[in-house]
Amino acid sequence: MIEHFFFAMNLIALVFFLAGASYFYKEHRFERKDFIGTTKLLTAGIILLAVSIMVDLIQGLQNYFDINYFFQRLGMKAIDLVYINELAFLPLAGISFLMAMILLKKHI
Amino acid sequence: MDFTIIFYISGFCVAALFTIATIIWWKINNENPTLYKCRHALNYILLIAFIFMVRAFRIIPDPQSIRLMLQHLLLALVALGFFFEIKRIYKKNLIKRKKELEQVINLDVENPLKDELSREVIKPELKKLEGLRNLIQNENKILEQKKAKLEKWEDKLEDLNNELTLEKRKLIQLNKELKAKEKELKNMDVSLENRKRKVEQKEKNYRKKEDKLKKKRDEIKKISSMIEDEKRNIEKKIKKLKLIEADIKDQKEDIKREQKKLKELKK
Repeated sequence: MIEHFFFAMNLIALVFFLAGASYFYKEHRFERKDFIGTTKLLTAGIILLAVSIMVDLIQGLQNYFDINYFFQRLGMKAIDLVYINELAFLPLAGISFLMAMILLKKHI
Repeated sequence: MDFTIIFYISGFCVAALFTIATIIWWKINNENPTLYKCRHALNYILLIAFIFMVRAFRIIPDPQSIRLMLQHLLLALVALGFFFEIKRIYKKNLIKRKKELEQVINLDVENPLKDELSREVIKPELKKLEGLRNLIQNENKILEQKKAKLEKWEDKLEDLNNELTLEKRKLIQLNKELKAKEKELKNMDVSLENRKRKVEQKEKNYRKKEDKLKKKRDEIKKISSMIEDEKRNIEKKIKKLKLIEADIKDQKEDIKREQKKLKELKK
């Protein structure tokens, strides 16, 4: 039961993060022209977060389908997605946010 | 090193990155609250740092999955909050921009932005357009001059064209004549060939006759040489005959003398 809850929450988060990222990027035309880099970096960070949530979702699919077969064909296991998430997408998202803030601070 | 330890370290690093970003943002927002128009949306998104901090403490045992539930719930709430906030801000800014644009376009509404727009944007543009108009006028003059020249050239071209058509007609006539002559020449060529064949035939016949004549001449030569030989023989024989005749005459004279002698003797 708890897996379904996690899956639903992840799905909501993914959809709303992606939609929000779209609005966030469109918002840049109301901001100062110097902030375009910051906006791009922040949008990239949000998208990376959404991707990491999507990876979690794919892992959550194990409860409904036998996705291990598919991953075995690719020469990996479903658990490998956790490594990708933990060591690639999330740190990259963090770096992206940090860079955006540093860039914003430079403009002050 | 075990992967779980790497995960713990990575989780803390991510949480630290997001926390530092949030602190920087907090400082920027305190210094200049009107810097970023969608600052509330950024506040929402940076709440994620809190979720990652919760996530980083997975080292603590969680038998009833309360931490996980809290983490997922907070993530969904942050996403929802971020989406609705950014949408609200975007719509608000869009409506504001539309109003500003409508005010700028509307002549009845007094707006300081309008004066600024006309002073800063439209006036320089008008100056540029004036310059462009002058340029276009100059270009037009040059173009008219060129047009007049072109018309002259066109007249000349027309004359040349007429001359060319005449020449063309002449050429066509000449071509026809040439073709007729060519036909004649071909006919002549055919007749010449026929004649040539006849001449060749005659030549062959002549050669045959010549050969025959040669043969006959050779025969005649042979015969004439034979005749000459015969002549020589005859001459030789005549000479011999003459000698014999002379002998006979001598003998006759001798006989006559002897007869005379005999007669004298008889007497």
